[in-house]
Amino acid sequence: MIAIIDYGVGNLKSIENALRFVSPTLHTDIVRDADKLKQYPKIILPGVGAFSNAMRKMKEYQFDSALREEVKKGKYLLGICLGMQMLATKSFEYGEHEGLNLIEGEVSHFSKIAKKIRVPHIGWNEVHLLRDDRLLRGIATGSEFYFTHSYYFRCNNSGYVLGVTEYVVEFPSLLNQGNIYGVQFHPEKSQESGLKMIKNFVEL
Amino acid sequence: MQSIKFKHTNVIHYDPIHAINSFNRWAVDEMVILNVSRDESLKDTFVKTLNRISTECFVPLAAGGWINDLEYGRTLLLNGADKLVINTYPFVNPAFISTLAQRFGNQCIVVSVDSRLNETGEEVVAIDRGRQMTNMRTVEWARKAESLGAGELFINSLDYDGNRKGYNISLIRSITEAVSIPVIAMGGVFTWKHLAEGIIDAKADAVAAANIFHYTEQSIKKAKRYLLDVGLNFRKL
Repeated sequence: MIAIIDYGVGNLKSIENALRFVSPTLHTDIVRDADKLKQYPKIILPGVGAFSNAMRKMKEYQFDSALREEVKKGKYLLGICLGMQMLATKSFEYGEHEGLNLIEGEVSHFSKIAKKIRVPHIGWNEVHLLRDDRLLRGIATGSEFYFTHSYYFRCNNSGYVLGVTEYVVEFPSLLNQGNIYGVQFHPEKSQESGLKMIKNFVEL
Repeated sequence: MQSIKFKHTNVIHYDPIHAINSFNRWAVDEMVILNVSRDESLKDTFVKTLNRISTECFVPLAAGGWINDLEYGRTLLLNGADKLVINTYPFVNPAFISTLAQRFGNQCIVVSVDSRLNETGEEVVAIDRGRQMTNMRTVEWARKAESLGAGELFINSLDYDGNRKGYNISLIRSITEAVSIPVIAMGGVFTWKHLAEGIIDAKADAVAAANIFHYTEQSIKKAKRYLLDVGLNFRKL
């Protein structure tokens, strides 16, 4: 059983479609009620849009505390795109905002490092894997995934960085701390490599 | 649907799912699906089609046509769209771009711009599926769309659509030089070389085509092989 957290923003159907495709018999629910998270051994935190708005919604639905609780129990969590960024300590997207603080780090804008680059970073880009993990079974280093984001996760502890991508700067595109995973790209929209990763998550 | 200068000449597939399945197998990088109906009567049918397509589409899927309110945008996103493509409505109500961007994020908003050369030799915006010319210079509208929160621009040229001569390079380059968000080139592709010209000469960030991909088996793989062979940075096959 996998819960996809629904806090009112984001395209959840893509993730649900991908889960159904890799595992047709898997029970997948889009969960709106934070209390119900208890019932699921695995959780996906999706996300698009602005950080502060998403975090506000997470708190409004009381997903922030519920998620911390469940993660503490050792449940697997996968944060996708903004869902990964929300795992950080804080973000500097339009001001300074607190994140879930599940993986230590800060979220900054690309333009802070270079003026003359196109932002958002949109398109397919390579992910270079730094170590082995069960989430990466059958996925070669340098495989390409689909990205669309203007901010990136600056992780203070390189031990948590599972994969990196280069767009002007080299940034962590795949994070892992214990049972918590975060991916900056969209595995549900990255064809074979992405579907493989989702299948690996299902099988963790 | 096949088109020349935005006039529909013939229907390629009556059920788009066949095309989608093939494109997926042929390693397409991203898809744009537009409801190009003459009026709003098929909005619900389009949602159903999108929903069905999305269950088999594991690349980004942008959807558009007749998005005139936030709710319909949300409906498309709930039915499998990853991005919303808007064109006529935001031209008349520019604040609509910001409304959508604030709700769904800039990355979700693709502003589609149809351009046409006017009598005085200027590229100006055409709206309503190309049926109505405006006085707004295309470059000016592109800049405005960016400032209002567009995440990407999808630039088509009415004069080049279906003409098989390649992209309107000068038009597209004028836009890529004016904005700092990604620009997708569209309209006029008949050879793989035209795609490369979109990147090299027009400086587009992504190249799109419609008619040509329906003509041959494995079309997208062939196109990408060509682009990789000439040294361009595309997703490997």
